[in-house]
Amino acid sequence: MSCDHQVLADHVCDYIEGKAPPVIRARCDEAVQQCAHCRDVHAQALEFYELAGKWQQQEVPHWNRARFVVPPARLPQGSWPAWAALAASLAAIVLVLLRVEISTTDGLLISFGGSQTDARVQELVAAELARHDTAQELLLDARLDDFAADQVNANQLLLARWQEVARAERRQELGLLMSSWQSQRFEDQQEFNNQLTRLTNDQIENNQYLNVLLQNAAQSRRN
Amino acid sequence: MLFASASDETLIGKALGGSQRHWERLVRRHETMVYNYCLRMTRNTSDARDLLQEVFLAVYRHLPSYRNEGQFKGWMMRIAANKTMDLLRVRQRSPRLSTDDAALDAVQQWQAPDTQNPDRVYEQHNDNHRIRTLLQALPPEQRLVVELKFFQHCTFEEIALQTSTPVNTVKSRLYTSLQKLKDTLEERHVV
Repeated sequence: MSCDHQVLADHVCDYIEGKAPPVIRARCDEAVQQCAHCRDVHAQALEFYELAGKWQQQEVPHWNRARFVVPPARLPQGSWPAWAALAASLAAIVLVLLRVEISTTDGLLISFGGSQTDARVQELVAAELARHDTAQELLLDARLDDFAADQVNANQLLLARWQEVARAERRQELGLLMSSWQSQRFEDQQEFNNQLTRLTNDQIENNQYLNVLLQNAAQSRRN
Repeated sequence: MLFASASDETLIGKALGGSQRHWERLVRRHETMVYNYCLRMTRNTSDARDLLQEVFLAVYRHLPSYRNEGQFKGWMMRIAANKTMDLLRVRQRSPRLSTDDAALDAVQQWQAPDTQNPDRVYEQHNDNHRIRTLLQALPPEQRLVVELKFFQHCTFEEIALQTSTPVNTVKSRLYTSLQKLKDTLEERHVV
């Protein structure tokens, strides 16, 4: 049979979901039975349907759902924050105009257009960048260490849980084995008791029969 | 509790009126579906998180133009599909230098379970990882069709509407995807 694979290509999902009309279903049946390629595609679709059903929903990580959508509340005109902002701006302008420099004994220097040269500024910036780099490296190392430690803990925890589950399963199996052994032993004991009872009864009957025979023999001897 | 039975349209109306709580409620209702969709479509959780935010940002911006035509979910997933394709195109043009984001994700996501059977949890984790790896083997357009068909259970007409593509093209993409998935699975079995 020559198959152009078109029927299954168009209807493979409807065919699997049972939504294909009877005529199409019959043609799909025929294609799947007689064409190896169509059979493969059908099997693949089935496998993927099954695989898709195994997807486990992942929890959404924490995120700020309203960060980008809710505009900040507008301050009413003439409120104190607006006046404070205006005052700060004016103060900054005055500081720049007067080229004020504020320095501390620790080496901190805040200059508003003061006497610092470009070279000095670049030197300070370079020093600050180097310090920042070092801090970043340290931070990165610390985070990597933390991550490694977390992973080790997680693995240990996992191993411990696995062992716990395995032990519980072994305990359960052992319990089942013990109970079945005990019930078998009980049945054997009962069987043994029954046989013993039967044997005893037989022996009593035999004794009674022998007594009767002996009595009869004695009787006939007397006669 | 108050919002438990509120319809999407009610929440949208309140959110448009400036209610942050109603917007958050609407997002919480749909974010798991969108996030899992993003997770399957992208390479890693980081991209999925970014995409999730992009989608809901776009949804909020376009909320005023949503006119209760059809279901909100379908409208939202159409936006998600567009945003996903934008992101995947950007990623194709300028791939990141990371060696294997999905593998890194697999390590990061794996946490020791608290109460469930560890075997079962590991199996589930493995299934998700397998699905994502298989989907990554497909080009973005085919991946989107497979996602919409197998995971969102859309009809071909709905997929055509969401992707702005003719129905026959959708069917052909799905067929090609299945053939490609078969090859990928065979390669993995051989390896």
